[in-house]
Formats: sequence, C-alpha cells, structure tokens
Amino acid sequence: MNPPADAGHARLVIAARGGDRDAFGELYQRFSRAVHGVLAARVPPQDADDLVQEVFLHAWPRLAELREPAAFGGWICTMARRRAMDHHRRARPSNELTDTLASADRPDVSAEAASAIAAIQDLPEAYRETLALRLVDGLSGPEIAESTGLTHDSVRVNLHRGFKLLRERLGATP
Amino acid sequence: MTADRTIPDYLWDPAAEPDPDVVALERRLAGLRFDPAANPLDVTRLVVVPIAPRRRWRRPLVAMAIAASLLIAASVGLWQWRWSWPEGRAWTLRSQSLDAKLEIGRGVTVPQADQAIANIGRIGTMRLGGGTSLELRATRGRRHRVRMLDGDMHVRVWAPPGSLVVETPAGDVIDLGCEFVLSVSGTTSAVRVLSGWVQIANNVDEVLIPAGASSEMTADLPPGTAVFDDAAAGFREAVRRVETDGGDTGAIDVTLRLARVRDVYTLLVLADRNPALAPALLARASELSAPPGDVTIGRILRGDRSALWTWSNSLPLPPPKSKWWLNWRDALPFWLTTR
Repeated sequence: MNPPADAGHARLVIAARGGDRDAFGELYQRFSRAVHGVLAARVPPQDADDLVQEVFLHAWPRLAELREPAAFGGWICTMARRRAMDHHRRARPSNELTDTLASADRPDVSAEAASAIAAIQDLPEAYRETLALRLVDGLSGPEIAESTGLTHDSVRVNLHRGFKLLRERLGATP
Repeated sequence: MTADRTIPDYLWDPAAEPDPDVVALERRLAGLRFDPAANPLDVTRLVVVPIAPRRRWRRPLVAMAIAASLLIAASVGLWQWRWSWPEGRAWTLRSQSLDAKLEIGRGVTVPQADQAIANIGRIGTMRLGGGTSLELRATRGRRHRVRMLDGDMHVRVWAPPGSLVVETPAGDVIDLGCEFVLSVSGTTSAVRVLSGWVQIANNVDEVLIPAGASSEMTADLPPGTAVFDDAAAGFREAVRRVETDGGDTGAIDVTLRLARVRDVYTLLVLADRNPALAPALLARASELSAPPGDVTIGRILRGDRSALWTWSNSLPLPPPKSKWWLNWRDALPFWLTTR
C-alpha cells in the first residue's frame, strides 16, 4: 500500500539523494498513487498518468532541496499540485471534460468513470483531492493525511462531507 | 469531529467492512486507478549527476553581504557627518548650573564648584573644570580653535591631526588625534597625554608629547621635553634642570643614571635640542635601546636628523599621527570609557 505509514521512506530519500535510482524507484512505488490522486482531482484523467511520471522526474534532481526526508510525501504532493496548475495554464482551451474522455488516449475510461471523476473535480476544493485520493487511488484516511499534510480530523471531515455531497450530485445510487 | 452516522467507517479505512455505496463508486472509478506496476518509472531518464546540496551557504552569504554593505554605508555616512560641522555654529556647553551655547567670540567661565562638558563640533568632547575660562575662536568641519585663559580641560578627540587647537597664554596645544588633560595657570600650561600625540608650540619651539607622557610650556621659553609620567621623580627633575641650566653636569649625570628603557625617547629629544650634550645622551640611549639598522651615533652627531627620527620611530610609542584613526577609542564618549 502506498504511501507508507512507516518512516522507511526517509532512508530511501537519503539514498536517492546520493544517486540511488532503485531507491527512487521504490519511492515511486510508494507514492505514485498519492501523486496520481492529487492530479486526478485537477486534470483530465487521460493526462494524469503521464503527469505522474513527469512529477517524479521533476523531483529527482531537486531531492537535495528537501530539508526533511521524512516529509517526502507532502513535498511530492505539493509538486504534483504545482504541476497540475502548470498543466492548466499550458493546456489549450478544451471542451468539457466528458467530451474529451472518449479520446484515443484513454479509450479504457468509461463514460461512467468520466462522469464520476468530473463530479469529484466539480466539488469544492477542500473535498475534491481527499475524495480522489480515497475513491480513485484507494488511499486510507491516515495515508491521505500523511500525503496532504492535513490532520486526521480534517481528512475525516472532508471525506464524509465530500462523499455526502458527491452522492447527492450523482444521485441516490451512484 | 463528530462523524456523520450515515457515512461508513469504510470510507476512512478500506480494510473495514465494505459499504455498498462507497464500493459502487470505487468500482465506477476503478478504470482510473493508477497502477505503478503497469506504469513503471522510466529510471533511464533519471540522470545521475552529483546532486549538490542546496546552496544554503548562499543565503547567509547574501545576508552577510547586505549587512556589510549597510555597515559600510552607515560608516561612510557617519564619517561624513562627523566632519561636517557648519562653520560658526555654536557649541553646546552643559553643566549643573549652565546650559549655554558657546558662540564664536563669546567667553564663558565655568562656576568654581561646577564642571561642564562641551561638544567639539562633532569630532569630540571636552570636560571643563570649575573656574575654567574658555572662548570659542573658530569652528567648522574639522577645524576648531578655542582660547583658554585659566583652568583645566580634559579633551577627547577622534579626528585627523590639527583638528583642535587650544590657545593658551603660554602657547598653542594642538591635538594630533588624541586624548589629553590641559591645565592652564597664569603663563604656564601643563599637558598630560592619555592617548595618541599632542603637539605644544609657542614662538620659541615646539614639542611632541606621546601618550603616557607630560610636558609644560611657559610663555617665551621653549616647551619642556616630554617625560613619561611613570619615570622617576629624580629623572623628571633632572631633565628640567638640564633644559633650564644646560651646563649643570650634576643634572646630566642624574638624567643618565635614572633613565630607563622607556625614557630613551626623552633622551633622544633632549639630544636633539641640546647638541652639546648629545654625545653623552645618545651613548646612554644606545645602551638602553640599540638604534636600528644603519643608524649610528656618528651619523646623528654629524647632523643627520633623519637618523635620529628613525631611531625614535623604532621605539614602542603610540601610532604616528598619520595613523590617528587607530586611536578609535577616542571616538567613544566619556561616560563609556574612562582612563
């Protein structure tokens, strides 16, 4: 499961700083889903997978800037948020999200999934990332707290209220 | 936090008992879930370069550079401000009973039971004892001149040589970047130097007094050669007798006998001012502190005064007047330091 609750990733960060690509690969295994959840809450799903790679490749030469290795989760998620903002700035004016989902990039994305993620992205900002991390990428409440830097209580509130709102928007039976 | 009872724990903990609503939504979104195994990181794109630690040294370095720049700017500003006393502006004279402006041409006498303190433009301060009579003659930038007819004055100046001249009935007392105490009584002025150098001069001669030494000056007589304050009383008295009764061999003998290493400066000045006594004085000075390099007594006796000054400059004396700024403590106010 990622991201980890243990502090072992601090050791991986230190090794990666020293140029250990395998250690960085392990960090990718642990945190890529959290990064994906952050991106999924903001960008079209067909772009999110590629952006995960980009975020990690962008982070690699900047590991030395991370003051506290144990804070890698929050740091990489912040990088993902910035990358999502850049993506929006660079993106050409596009049609509605649901219109683009049928593109050849992600033919596997069903219309149902597209409407659900669109509903999540339409939620107030406080809820959308928490719900994407939970419902899209399957992170638990404590893992979301670690990745986002929020307290457990805040994550719990966001999950509960966000889910309630989402359920209302999608209809009684999502 | 009070959990909404309609929301299952499964939302918080995927390992808990599944909730149908949440599971349904998860299934709906399942196609979007990211699988790192299916999307491995392309590690070949990770260029291994020596990852230099963040240049955190830059931040303190920049801060230090800014601080240094500010300090330099402040110092330059302070430096300019210190020498920029408007011409003719009155000094401020304060005491327990006085709070007066000392204007040019106007004399003031400090009450007997009082003490006063006056600014010397912006280059220093003077403390005046009770009964001291003072008149400001000229003031501007770093050129200040007062006339003192009687009393005691303690001066502390941090400025280039000649910034302050005190006229007395016996002659002029000229600061060379220094601190000194001046006592004027009738036609005699006594100067004791605490730091740097002071020059006393009248229409007969002039004398330089280093820190730690004293001298007296009487109108129409040569100012006395400087003698260090810690010299033997007999030495001091003998030097005076040598100067007033040049041929007094007894006084010369005492002078030579009581002279210490530190008194070599006095011996050299005496030799310069009394050529007839120079052979004996220089010989004794040489015994106490050998002249440097190619300086010989013979050269001096042949009239080579530069050799004499080379010898004098080799002695452990205060910084020469060209390095007056080394006496930076003289820039401090009286209340901060005492000597």
